[in-house]
Amino acid sequence: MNQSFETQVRIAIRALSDVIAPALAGADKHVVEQLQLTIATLGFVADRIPEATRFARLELSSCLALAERARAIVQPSLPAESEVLAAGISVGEEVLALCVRDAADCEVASRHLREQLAALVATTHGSPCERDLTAAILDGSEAMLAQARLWALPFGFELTPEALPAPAW
Amino acid sequence: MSHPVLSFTEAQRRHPDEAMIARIRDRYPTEPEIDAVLTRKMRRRRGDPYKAVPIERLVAGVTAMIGEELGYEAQVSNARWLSGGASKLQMVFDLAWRGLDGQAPESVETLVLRMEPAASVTESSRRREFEVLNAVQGVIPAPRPYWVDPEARHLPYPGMVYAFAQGAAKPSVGVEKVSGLGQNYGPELRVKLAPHFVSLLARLHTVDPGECTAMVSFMQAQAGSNASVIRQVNAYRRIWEEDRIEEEPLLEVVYQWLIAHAPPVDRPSIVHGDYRSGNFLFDEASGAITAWLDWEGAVIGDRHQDLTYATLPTFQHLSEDGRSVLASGMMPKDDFYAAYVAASGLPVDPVRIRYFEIFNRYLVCVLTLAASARASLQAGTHQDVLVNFVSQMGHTAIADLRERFLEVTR
Repeated sequence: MNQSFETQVRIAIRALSDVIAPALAGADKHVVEQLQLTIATLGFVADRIPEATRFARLELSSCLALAERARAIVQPSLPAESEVLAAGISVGEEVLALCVRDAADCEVASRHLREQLAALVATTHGSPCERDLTAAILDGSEAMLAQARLWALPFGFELTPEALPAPAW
Repeated sequence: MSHPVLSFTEAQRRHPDEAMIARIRDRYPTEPEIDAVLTRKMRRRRGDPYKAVPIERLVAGVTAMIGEELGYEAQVSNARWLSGGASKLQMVFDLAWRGLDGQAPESVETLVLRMEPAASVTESSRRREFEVLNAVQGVIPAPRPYWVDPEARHLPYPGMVYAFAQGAAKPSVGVEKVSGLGQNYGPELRVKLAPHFVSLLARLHTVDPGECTAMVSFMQAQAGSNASVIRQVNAYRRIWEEDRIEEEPLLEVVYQWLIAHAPPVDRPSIVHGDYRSGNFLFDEASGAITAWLDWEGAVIGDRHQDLTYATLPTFQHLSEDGRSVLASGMMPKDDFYAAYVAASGLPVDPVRIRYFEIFNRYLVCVLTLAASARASLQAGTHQDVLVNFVSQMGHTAIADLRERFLEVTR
């Protein structure tokens, strides 16, 4: 049986940490720095691989919720744009319903919805629904951004990780 | 005014054609030199990914470049890589030469070649960096620039040569972070560095950019007009369009707000653009700042841009008492602004401060979530692993932008 991706990455990390790094003592600073960053990046991958599909599904769910909200806001004044967004929502829901789909499918559907939402913000600029759509984007982004920060936690940029909510994936 | 909404696929972003480039240029007009740099980036993207450049290739290029500039043969030796920074490739070397006019006795000077890779965290102009370094000589400590190869006639990519500046980038004790972000200098050194940090910014901002004849690649900012601010916002929005991996609807909301609320510049200044902890060298014994580095983001614009950049959360840390937040590891934000007013004689306008707090957060999001992510995705740099690492800061940065945007617009 093949080793899992996570196991293989951890094997590579051990080799880099325990064998390669000591052998580079005295090398140029940028060489050592890149090795340390490589080890940290692989550590992130090893931590997250087992959860990747669940995270991608969570992200798609959040995008769908925000898109539904945006569609309700613009539907009365921009029926054509609303229909276009509805088509994107339909695709996203279909992907989400198929639990056998992998993370990449969810990412594609999420990115499509993100593009549609940003385009809607540009289209509605100066229109009567701008205010409500802006509020929906700001509101809907909060939980999504918090989860994205949690996801990237292994990179170590969060000053107070304990202030972040629990993972929702 | 309503503009057409641009829509490009990931495949188009990976291999942009001339029609795509033209549409983006038309939609987000900016300064001509910035436009040229970003256009070149997009055209370069169609070519091969970055290949490691042997140091011998750089030695040959820099020797040819200097020889042509001097008109006589000068000897390059002792070339070695210079680490530090996330965006440019740097080589330090010794030059045996007889001065700019060839009449001086032969001497050896240590110089730095600063060259861009195929893609970068901050795509920028070596020509502009060279010009602004010339302009600030005698005003603020900065490496003396010698020669520039803005179109890569001698080097693999555009580059410039400047004097090697003495000093430390980080204290000899303390925790290091990527690119010096959130650098803690420690209480003793901080007391010495902080006044210098403020007074040099004041000195830079009180230079009249209209008198800086060397800065020919910069568009002047007009007092009473917000055109220069809008050009800058458009430059970052353009990078977002060119480089992003995935859209963030929140950034479109913020972009619209930045355009609608761009304040007129009250007094044009030379703006460093990256004035923060980690971007200067210092003498650890005296606490004197010996050189300001990384001038590639310099513009002629509004001083509040630098003031708010130096106070971004990314560059802060808590003081030893655990209560005060120190901007750029120097002093609390309000103290920093007060010290700046005293040193420069220029007012700090709270409305402009709030605007540029949003502007700079937007800029950081674009450079991390778009430029850095794209550069590493397309294998465009000499240290993709570092650039990819930096891109992961973007999640924290955009959450911070959202929070501050809500506070400012409420």
